[in-house]
Amino acid sequence: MTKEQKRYVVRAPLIGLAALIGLVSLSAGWAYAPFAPAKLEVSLACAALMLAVVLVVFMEFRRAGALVRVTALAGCVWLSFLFLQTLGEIASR
Amino acid sequence: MTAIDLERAANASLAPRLASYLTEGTTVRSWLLTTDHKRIALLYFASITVFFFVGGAAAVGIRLELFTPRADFFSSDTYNRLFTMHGVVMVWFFLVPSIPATLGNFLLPLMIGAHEVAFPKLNLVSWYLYIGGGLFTVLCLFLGGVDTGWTFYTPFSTMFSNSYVLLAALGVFVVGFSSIATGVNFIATVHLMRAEGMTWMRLPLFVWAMYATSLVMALATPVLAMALLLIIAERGLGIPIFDPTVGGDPLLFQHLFWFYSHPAVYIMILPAMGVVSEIIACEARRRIFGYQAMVYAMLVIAVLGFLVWGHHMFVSGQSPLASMIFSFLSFVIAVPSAIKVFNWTGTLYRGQIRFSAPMLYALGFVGLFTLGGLTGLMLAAVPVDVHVSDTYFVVAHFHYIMVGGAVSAFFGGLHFWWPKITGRMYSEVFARFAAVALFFGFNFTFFPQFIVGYLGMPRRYHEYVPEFQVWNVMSSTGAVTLAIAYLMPLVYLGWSLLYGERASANPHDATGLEWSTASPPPAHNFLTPPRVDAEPYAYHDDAKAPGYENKAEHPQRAGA
Amino acid sequence: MSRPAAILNAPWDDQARQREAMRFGVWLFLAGEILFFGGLLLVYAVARYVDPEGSLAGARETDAAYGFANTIILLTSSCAMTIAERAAKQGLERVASAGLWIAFTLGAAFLAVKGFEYRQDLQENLFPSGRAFRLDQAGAARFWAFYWVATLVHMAHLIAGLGLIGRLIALGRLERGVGRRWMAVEVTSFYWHFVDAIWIILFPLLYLAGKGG
Repeated sequence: MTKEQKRYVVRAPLIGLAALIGLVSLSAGWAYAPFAPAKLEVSLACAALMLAVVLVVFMEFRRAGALVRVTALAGCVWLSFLFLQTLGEIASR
Repeated sequence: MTAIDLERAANASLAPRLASYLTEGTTVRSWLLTTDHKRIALLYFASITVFFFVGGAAAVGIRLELFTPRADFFSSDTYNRLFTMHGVVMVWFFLVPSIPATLGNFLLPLMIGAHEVAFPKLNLVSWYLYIGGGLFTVLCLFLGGVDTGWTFYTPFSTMFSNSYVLLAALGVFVVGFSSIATGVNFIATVHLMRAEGMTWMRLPLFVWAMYATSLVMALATPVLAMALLLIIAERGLGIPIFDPTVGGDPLLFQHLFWFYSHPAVYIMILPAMGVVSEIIACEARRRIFGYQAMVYAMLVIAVLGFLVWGHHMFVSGQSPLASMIFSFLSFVIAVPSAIKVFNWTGTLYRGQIRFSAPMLYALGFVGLFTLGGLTGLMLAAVPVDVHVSDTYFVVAHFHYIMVGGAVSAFFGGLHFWWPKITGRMYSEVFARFAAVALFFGFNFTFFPQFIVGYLGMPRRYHEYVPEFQVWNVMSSTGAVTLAIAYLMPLVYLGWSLLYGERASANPHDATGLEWSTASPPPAHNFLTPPRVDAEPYAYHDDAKAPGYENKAEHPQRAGA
Repeated sequence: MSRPAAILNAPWDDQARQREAMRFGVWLFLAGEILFFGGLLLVYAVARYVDPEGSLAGARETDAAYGFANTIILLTSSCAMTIAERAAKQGLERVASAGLWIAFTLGAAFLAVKGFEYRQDLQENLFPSGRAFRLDQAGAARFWAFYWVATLVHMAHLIAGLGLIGRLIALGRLERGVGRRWMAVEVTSFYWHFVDAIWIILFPLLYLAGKGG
């Protein structure tokens, strides 16, 4: 394995893993810390960041073509239709 | 002759007369393990025909029972199972796959100049998923059926029904994945397998219709899968999800269910719109009026269709604000459909119309879809819907669109492309008769239902007050004509397979790449990959309608 | 950097287009999965919105030690899968094979840990069916119904993923390495990361809610 290969194949994913473990530990720590505020928001934010790491580092999303990005976006946008209108209906009863 | 004409001649004439995708391998194995999209289309065609008659048998039971106001043949419980099985089978095992899995599978690669779909093995898997789901449903039927209505509403389905809910839900769950697989396959095929020169805005409208439908199939069906899974979990494991006594919300099921089931009706109608565009352009010898608008209309319908599901829930107890928003959006979505009807009419203007059987079906579609669509607009208005909800008005509305619309278009497309698929010509006389019989039988069956529904007859009831009998007798009598119109094609199309005249490559003189190859096509569709250099529907010169002549400009002639 | 020539499947006769198709196809599938799990998450969101106290009362009873352990296991498995994918693309067969084996083993370990956790949940009467359920609040029962459905569905996806990884391992042994199948490795890797992503979302919702002071 050449040096660049080692960096690409082994180091980069391990750094991603380190970031993920750090984030989940932070999230769990915050959840268990007594009197820590905004627990739901922090845990969701940590989850969102972890998703971003998986997407960008593991799945190399930044290098994906337009087709893949639009597809991923479509999934999220359509899900937002479901969530917004359903939760909106329930909230406005 | 342009290069494309020469290629077309080569493709059409060089293909040996009888060697085609049909003769390539004649064992059962070669059919059941095929990855040829054309054979898979035929596998689907055979299976959906079987299910059509299963669902149709349930309809016969329903219309027989409704001849008189009293219960004649069936108990309430059995009647519940009849209309449920009619709905489940017709929606998921006939209408949703009909045009996409049969005509779509067969024609999509041909129309874009490809030799296969993007994922041929996935295509075969989708058919096996369809059959698997179908087997669960048939098993459910044999064991006694399910009585929840095709909508599976909770808490009746999860907590109180004494029928085979789990089996039915499982059957639909499995067949949903067939839908998703087809959708993914078609989207990838259109993006990645178009022939040289086949740009997006040169695609036939049928291809655009398949693309829009596939977007809906791929994005909506997973939510249905989850809705059904939750019912299976609640009923099967006995855990509380929608159970109101444990704080659950039955409306949540309805939201999840209708998030799929409203777009599902667009899965059923968009392909039909694609078929009708192809037939009308060819049989009127006209370019489509407003091609771009037709494309955008279909895409807008596909997207907006996801935002209107709450119009099925106006009387469910959902919030008035949500009802208003869903109502407004339901009004908006009528606009692109109306644009399409206008454009089909515009296409006919100054056309040289041939009243062939496919054209009769297509014209019938335009009329019946318009009526169904207008009544849909009425239903989008909350006050009207509150009055006619759960009456026969709604039943008539959706049958106008799904049967008058989608089934007419399916039959039209079947006839239009029959020579291409089978290499045989059918009897035009019988076919035209059947088309007219379908139009009259259909109206006789379902128009009285608008009236009786408005007068207050509830749906899903097998007994009714005697004042409604005259309308029900009309409807049931019309159903007899409709049944004949459905059975006739079996006879003359089946006859044509054995004794029909052999078809040429392009018997309708239509544009479109599928007509540039032999009838039936060779296994790999085209002998040489086609190249496209013209707009679609080049039936006439851009500036003028065909046959246009200003006689006043011609030299005067002596005598007659 | 010598990318091995990939095996071409019908109907493709061009590597670049096949790769495009496979990535597009798997992402279309994943978009559908986003909606599938999204529907499930909607149930959670509605339950927690309508009855926050009941939901949190239920959530308090999950064992975060199991949850945290499984999260670490799955994240590491995902990392190993990434290493395997990148190695396959570079033609580094032994690294790829090692990565696949580690990913598979850790995935199986997740199942084992989950199995122990389920046993404990059942022993503590945390299955919300009938009168045996330990907690009184309605919201807690609904939370636990969600817990069982969500974790079982996730597990089903994980088992399917193990099947896909196992298939790659088998192909690697038959064909002396997965380098020629790097596109299949890429696609399997995307699916595996998705399984991981679902767990990343479920972990705080199931294990961190209602904990602490």
